[in-house]
Amino acid sequence: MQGNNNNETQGWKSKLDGLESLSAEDFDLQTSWQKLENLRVKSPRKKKASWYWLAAACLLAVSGLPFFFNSTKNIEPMVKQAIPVKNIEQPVTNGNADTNNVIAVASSSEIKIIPKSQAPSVVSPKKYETVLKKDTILKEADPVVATILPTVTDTLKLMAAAPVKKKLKVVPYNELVGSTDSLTGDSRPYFPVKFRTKEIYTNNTGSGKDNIIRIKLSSQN
Amino acid sequence: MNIAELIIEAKRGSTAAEKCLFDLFARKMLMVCRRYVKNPEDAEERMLDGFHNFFKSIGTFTYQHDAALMAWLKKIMVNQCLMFLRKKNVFTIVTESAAENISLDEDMLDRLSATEIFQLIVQLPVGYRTVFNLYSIEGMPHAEIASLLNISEGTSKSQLSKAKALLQKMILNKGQGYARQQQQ
Repeated sequence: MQGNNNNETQGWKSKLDGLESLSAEDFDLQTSWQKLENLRVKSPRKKKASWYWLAAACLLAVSGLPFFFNSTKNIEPMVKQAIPVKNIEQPVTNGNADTNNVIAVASSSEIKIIPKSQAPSVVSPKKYETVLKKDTILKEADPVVATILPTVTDTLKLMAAAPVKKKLKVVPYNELVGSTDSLTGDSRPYFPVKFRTKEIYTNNTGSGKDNIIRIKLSSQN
Repeated sequence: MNIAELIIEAKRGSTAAEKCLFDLFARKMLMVCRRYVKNPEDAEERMLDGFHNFFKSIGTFTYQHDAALMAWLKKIMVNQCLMFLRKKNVFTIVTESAAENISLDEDMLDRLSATEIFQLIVQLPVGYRTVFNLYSIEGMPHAEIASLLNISEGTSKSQLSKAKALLQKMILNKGQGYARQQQQ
């Protein structure tokens, strides 16, 4: 540690380095050594304690791993269960049942199988419940009643089994010339809109009695 | 058994060899610690911590000669004391001022005994004392002192000059007092 700043031979420094004790003070080496021994005994204990803590932490982590993995595996079913299937009441077909002569209908949480011949053409849960109330089907058919909890796949089946909306044929408006009004049943001639002359006529315009609409479209106000 | 053999035995884990080394150097190291830490109990604790670290790391030490061992031990002790002083935040109150180039009359110091020099140094304020110890006794440059104590180099220089001035003053007062005693 001797630096370059003190090149001279300085007696006072060597005197200080050689100083072992002050004349007035008595330093007990034995007591001091005992203190050092105690200090050295304490520190390994601390080390051991830290190792125990580390081991405990590792053990905890290892024991927690299966729970962690199980929890990650259960995420998918939990999501499935979280889908609000309970409120969806749709007809369900039971794969195990004989589907030739019976039709399966689901009502919230159960499937009831009824004879196909006596089943309504479009089976909706509400209608089926009314049918059940009348006691006309189940007593004769002795149905197999399966109780299941609806799952996501069942919901998909339900959606597939739902009746498809009938598409209406799109007919151009001008093809309706001369036809009767389907809503009112009026048999009077039905005039189309004349776009070229910018005039709109309804079937009320010709009679003069109930002249409700007569619009003339013009570019000048 | 000489010091080299004691070191070898201590490396092997011999408590007796460690005790011998402690007995040999404990007093000197306590004085080193007391130059930095004024309180005797605190200084002893620093010395014990220093020896504890010394015995822990003795396996890495290669003995060459006694002076090297002494220097290594002193370095350990000084580091312990500086750590202690840093924990106490004694250097935060030190402010920088213009460093005057004051030279200490070393002849006057040479005329004093070791105990008297020691008593004079211990009477210095902590900032002055630490910088004086590190620069004048351990021989550290100001840059190293500044980085050790987390102060600027200028502060280190100003602390040293103030320490020297104060020491000079104390030596003069001591001389005057001694002269008066002689006259009486």
